[in-house]
Amino acid sequence: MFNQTQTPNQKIANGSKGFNKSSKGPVFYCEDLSVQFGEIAALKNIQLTIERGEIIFVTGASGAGKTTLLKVLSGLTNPTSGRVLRPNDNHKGLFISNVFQDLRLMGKYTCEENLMFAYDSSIYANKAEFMQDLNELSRILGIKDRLKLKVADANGGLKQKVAIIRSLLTRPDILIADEPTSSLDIDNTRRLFDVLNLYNTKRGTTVIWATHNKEFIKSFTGRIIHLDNGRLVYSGNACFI
Amino acid sequence: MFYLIQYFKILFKSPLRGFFLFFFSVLFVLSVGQKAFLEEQFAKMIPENKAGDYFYALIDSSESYQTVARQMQALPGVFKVEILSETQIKDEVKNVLGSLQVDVTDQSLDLNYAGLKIIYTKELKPRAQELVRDYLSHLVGEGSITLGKIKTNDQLNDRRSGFISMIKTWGYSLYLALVLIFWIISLLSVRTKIAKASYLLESYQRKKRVALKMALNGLTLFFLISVGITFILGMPQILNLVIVLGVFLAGIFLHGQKYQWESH
Repeated sequence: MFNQTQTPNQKIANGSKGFNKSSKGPVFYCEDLSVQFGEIAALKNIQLTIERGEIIFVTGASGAGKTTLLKVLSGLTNPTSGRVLRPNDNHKGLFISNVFQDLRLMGKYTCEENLMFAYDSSIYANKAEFMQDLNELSRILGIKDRLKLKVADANGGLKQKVAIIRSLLTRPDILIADEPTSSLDIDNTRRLFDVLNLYNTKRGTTVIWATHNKEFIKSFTGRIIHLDNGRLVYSGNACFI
Repeated sequence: MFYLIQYFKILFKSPLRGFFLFFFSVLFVLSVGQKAFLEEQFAKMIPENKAGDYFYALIDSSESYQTVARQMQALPGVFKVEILSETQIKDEVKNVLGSLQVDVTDQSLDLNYAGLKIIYTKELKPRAQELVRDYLSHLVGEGSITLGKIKTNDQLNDRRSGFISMIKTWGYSLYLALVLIFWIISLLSVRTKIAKASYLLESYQRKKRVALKMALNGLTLFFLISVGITFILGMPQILNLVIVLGVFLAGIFLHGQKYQWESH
């Protein structure tokens, strides 16, 4: 997993060298990671390394600690004890895009206007290129005809698709999604995962996806991290779960 | 330019809030920059109460009391001369006699007098007041006039003048405080919207401190437009504008706080 001269910590600490976009290497490293909310231990002594380009499914029952783990990886929550090294710790890291459980869309804006928040002129040659991506993703996920609809008037599934497309339009190095398909049917979930797979294959995007649907993910390739009551109880291929 | 466009996009999404922020920004800069001009306007708007002490004079109605009143009005130290007609005098006498339970009829009252109420200007010295009375006696003739005692201005008048003087002293400050409060309210009313948009831009674009940059661009433009309008009205007080710039900077740094989506 790591070369013999460098520990994972050293690799991450080395910054851009450790996170060479073209090569494999750890993007997250958690060591004895624990998160406590008052009396409640949300995560207990998590040891975890996530490599660049991996597809990770974080599974577990409600309250198992999936959201907390994702928030720690995103840098939105700090560990109570132990440590986590993230790609952005050295400010030269990779770009992380989140799909939050509460989606974080602007209700008064149209779906398209919400997607425009992802238009970053530093990663797109021009707006036409961005619009091409936007239209392509909208078409694949079947929302092209509803882009002018206000988010406040949209249903749960449409909102979820907009949130996912917005994240993908950022051309992220790492995509962290917390239950991104809870309002989607099986067909849409499959289509979405095909898109994520494509991003993973073509762009090397690391995908970290929290879900409680274990049966569904068995049909995909990727590593499963299973949490139970805040503890990491399984890390391995989906077929062995 | 990116941040300025984003700032206006947010304001156009909430046009009323955006309009109020622009309006109160202009009004605030204008009010401070043109302080002297506004204070002058305040003074003009509220008439000063110049009425001082007064006395009554009864003049034989055969005398041309209206000419006398005009001449007295032109006298320095006289604020106003009010003419009380023969009928008014009769009514007043009847009131007084009635309160003393003396039964009188119009025929029995042979009062051929006109009355004048001479009101001095405020804070006229007693010597000057006496000179005015002497002049009046001389003008009408001592045998045709009866002068009443000098009375001090009534309490109501004092209260009114106190209020006017308070408005004159604090009016501008109160007005400015109100404008500042409304400016802060309008600023806060768009702050959350800017913070939310900024949060999304930071999350989905490779950008940092977006809210601060947006506010810096937007409010600086508002400030410059306001200064331009202030100059149109005349040369502003530069030091005052520097102070307003400081307030605007504080408003800009208000957007520097890290936004937590979960808390809204």
